[in-house]
Amino acid sequence: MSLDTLARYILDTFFFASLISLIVSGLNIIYGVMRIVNLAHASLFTLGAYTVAWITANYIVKIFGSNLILLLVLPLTIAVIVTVLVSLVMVTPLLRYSYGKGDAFQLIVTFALLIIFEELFQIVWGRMPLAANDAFFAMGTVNLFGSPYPLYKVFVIIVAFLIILALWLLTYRTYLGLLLRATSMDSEMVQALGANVIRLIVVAIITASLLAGLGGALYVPTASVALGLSLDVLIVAFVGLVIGGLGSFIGSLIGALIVSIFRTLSIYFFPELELVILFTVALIVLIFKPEGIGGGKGW
Amino acid sequence: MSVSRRDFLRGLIGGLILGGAATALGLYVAAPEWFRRRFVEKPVTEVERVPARPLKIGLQFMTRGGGAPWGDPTFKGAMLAVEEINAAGGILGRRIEPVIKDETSPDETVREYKAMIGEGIEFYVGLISSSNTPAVAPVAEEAGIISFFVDGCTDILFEKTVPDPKFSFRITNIQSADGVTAALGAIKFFNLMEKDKVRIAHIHPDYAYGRNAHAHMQIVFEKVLGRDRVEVVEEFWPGLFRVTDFGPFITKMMAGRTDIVATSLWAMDFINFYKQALAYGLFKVAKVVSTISHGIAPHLVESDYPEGFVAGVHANYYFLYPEHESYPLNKIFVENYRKRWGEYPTNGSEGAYTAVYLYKAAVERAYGALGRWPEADELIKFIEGASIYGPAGILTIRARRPNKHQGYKNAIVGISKVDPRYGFNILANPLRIPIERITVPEGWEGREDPTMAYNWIRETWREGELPV
Amino acid sequence: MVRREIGNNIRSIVIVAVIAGLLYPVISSIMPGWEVMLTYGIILAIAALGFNLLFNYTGLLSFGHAAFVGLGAYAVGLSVKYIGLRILEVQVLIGVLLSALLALIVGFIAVRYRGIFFAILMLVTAQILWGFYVKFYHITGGTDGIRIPRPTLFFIYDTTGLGYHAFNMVYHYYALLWFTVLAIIMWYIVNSPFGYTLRVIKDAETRAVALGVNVNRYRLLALVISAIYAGIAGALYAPINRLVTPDLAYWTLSGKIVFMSILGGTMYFLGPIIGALTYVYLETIAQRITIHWYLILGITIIAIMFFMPRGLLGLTELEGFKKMARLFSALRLQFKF
Repeated sequence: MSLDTLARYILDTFFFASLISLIVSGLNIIYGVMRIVNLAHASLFTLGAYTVAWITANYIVKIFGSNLILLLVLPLTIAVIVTVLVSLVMVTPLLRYSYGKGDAFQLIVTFALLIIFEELFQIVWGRMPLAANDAFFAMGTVNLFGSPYPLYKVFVIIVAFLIILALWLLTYRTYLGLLLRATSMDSEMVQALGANVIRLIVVAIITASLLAGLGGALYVPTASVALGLSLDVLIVAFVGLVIGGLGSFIGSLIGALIVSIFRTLSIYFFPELELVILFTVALIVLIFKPEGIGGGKGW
Repeated sequence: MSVSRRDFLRGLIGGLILGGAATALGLYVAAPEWFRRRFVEKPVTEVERVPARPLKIGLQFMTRGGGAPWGDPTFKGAMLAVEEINAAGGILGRRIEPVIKDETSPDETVREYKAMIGEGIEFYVGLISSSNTPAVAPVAEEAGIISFFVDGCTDILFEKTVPDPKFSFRITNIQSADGVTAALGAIKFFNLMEKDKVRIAHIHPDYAYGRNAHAHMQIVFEKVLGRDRVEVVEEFWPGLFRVTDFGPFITKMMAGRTDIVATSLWAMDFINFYKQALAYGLFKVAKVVSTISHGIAPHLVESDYPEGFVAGVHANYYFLYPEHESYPLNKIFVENYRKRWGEYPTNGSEGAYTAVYLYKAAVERAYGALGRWPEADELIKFIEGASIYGPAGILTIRARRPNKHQGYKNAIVGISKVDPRYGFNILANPLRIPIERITVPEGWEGREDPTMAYNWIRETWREGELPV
Repeated sequence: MVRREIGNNIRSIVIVAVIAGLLYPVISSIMPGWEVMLTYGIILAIAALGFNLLFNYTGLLSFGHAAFVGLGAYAVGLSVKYIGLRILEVQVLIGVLLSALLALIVGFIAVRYRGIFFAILMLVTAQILWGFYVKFYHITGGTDGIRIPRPTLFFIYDTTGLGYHAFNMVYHYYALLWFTVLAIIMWYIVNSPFGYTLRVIKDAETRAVALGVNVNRYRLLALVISAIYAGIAGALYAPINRLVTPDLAYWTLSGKIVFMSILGGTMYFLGPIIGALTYVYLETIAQRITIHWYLILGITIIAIMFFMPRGLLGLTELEGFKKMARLFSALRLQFKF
């Protein structure tokens, strides 16, 4: 394999891992604080994607032309705000009232929420896929050992890295993070010590929504968004979650990376078996280390 | 809990009575015609020449999700025909009333189709996916609903699944013609006959259509160019509308120094693929031959799509051809479609539009012969072997095996070109291929695996020679 | 805790079966096209019964029961495609064996875990099988699936010649027979010492261990039985659907099975049955009212979860219903019927 091909593979793997890790870490934050696997989380990713595609094509390009900075920053910011607001209205109350009600209850309620989201997307944005690749093309390409590589993907990797870094600082270097981590280990004790667990839960959900919305917003310029994206994203994220370990911060990153590596490898060696391989890896991890590779240590 | 003998006996007798009632009622259902005449409808005293109730038509297309860029225009074509016919007073005075359902996975599509039967549709125009026609056709045959499948044109349908169809028909050219046409287009437009070696990478959606396109492109390349001049570098089978990031595929294609990318990706998959391939610079080193790139709503193939590639329209129809000056039928269709929907029609729109008119023509001819509205099974012989002039030219429904009830029209393929008049990438330099040159003729007998057309090409084409 | 539970007896099963049998011709003459849903409903009820043995009686949430449904359906599909077998009872048997085998293999590991981990393990198993069905195009037909010809019932009755409506009806009563027998067997299972042991394991696992119960072995057995039910449901599903596709192993079907059971009320023996029958009609009605029927479905699910956590049968425990029931039994005593 030539150097440029190898470099592309590595960057592609990191690109995919960046997006997955944004979703998986959100899922983990919620699981850590509330012990809920929020199946509707992937819908927020799709919401971010729809918002960016729609705003870019209908407003940003028409008003500001192809100003690169605006193309990158403006839709992203709006998408994140929209996602967080929607999450506050629709996701937060449901999760709050599902808190502590048992796995079956939570799985079903969040799955119903996913279905509702899917239908709302259709009502708002119609049935056709939306695409807005302006930012993707406006950034151009970078020369990678003699062949071009889209700069936008590198940009996504960098942004995701910074966000994850910020998240790490938040959880390990602030008082709020301390509370979050403590809650994920023993929420009753945290409550007994006088902290407001409900407020912590809301903070956790907002943070997670922000990450998911950002992920979708970053993703959409490279491809397009259509109904059904939530399910596809959810399944891959879920594998990442299982491999990395439920409720583990480091696990999110490990899980996302492993999923991406196996995805790239399977496309290279057995393109037929991509999904089977991903799920088999998850199964093996579950059998030998059910708490996941990074799991079992809280955050 | 104890059950006394009397309770038991009472239960047994009650059960027997209830069971008997159920069986009696069940028998009514087994002979529903009789049942309905006996109990639901009033005894027929006078033969009703044309029913007064509106004519219900089932319309079922993929209008959501990744297939929407293909299914939506197809639906619009059918609706245009329905509206036109209604505006002109319906079919023999009967207004058409559409019953609209969604086409999704085969499983759900069949269920929705059954639901349509329950809602009393008298004929049906629908389906674009090759996974769905073999699933629905057997149900159509059993239920006796005249069903026009617009697309979903897999050869398997009328070769294996329902080799002797009665009620199901298909409008769009047979699928093998699609791969064959694209490959012939590539050989002609790219001058492949003069090359020593052709390095091909295949990328197709992983279901009946992708497999079919792959097989027929490959057999034509091997037959016309010679097996040793064709080298397959890669074969990829991404799931239909499941992959959005084609990066790793594209990287591997470039690593293999591909000359030609042969693809049958369609709708959203194709758009995602070409946008990403553009960014990766794949098109600087390789040319694309696509069976179907220009089959979506024309304005969706934006002007960033490279020029000079083989542009496929499913071997059927592109809105510019037949040329509007010489064939007014097409001009009128394109103008009306644009007036109604604000965009240009696709080959799907044309197929669905023609299907509705084909039904109208058949009913009117049957009425002329019978003097009354035809039953479904009487209508069949007015469709079999019939020809109709549609916007794309003449369409003929085959009456004999193999591929009985399949619609045939001349195939078309061209070169992609940005046209400033339209502002998007169009199909230019149309190459028209007489359909009889590239598909298995009536009465031909041979193996069906993978398709009869495949074996017909392998056995009857002369090696190293272009058939057109 | 002993709780008097509505419909927890064989008579209720028979009543449900007779109603399902009587309704079919009624529905098909009043609302043609709606009767097929009844067949789908009773077949899915078999799978839901299996699910509930695990969920309510053993305390294990399986989010991957579609794995067994799919296996049963593919047993029919592949045996038709490759050996031309069309005798449905034999195909069901193959489905049962395969499901039981899969349950044994997966269960060997899975029964050690509970809660979300067990749910995920089952889900992942189903997804792996789904991946195989999708990707092994040359064997399984990929997403195109396998078409199922008309089966031969009871070894001798070939249904090939029947018309569309006639076959649907014959098959309805055939499936109903399976349903009745399987439901009665399930009733005996949950009301046997084995069933009571499962309940003890669910409610007080440590106590069960202390009593010397091999908890994991009981769980494994429950899983196998549950899988067999789902497998039979899958095998019966294939001929009425005429098509076997990977959808039958997809996690959305697993979700549906869970939802049906909860809709009817998992704490009741009849819950999954009522739930399955209600669900298929709920889905169909919602589909006809609006194209946005998933929205209705989603909101309904959430409403049920929050306001009717005991499901439809939970309504029978409301005071009003109890009064009605007392009135009914008083009338029955009075007029001796």
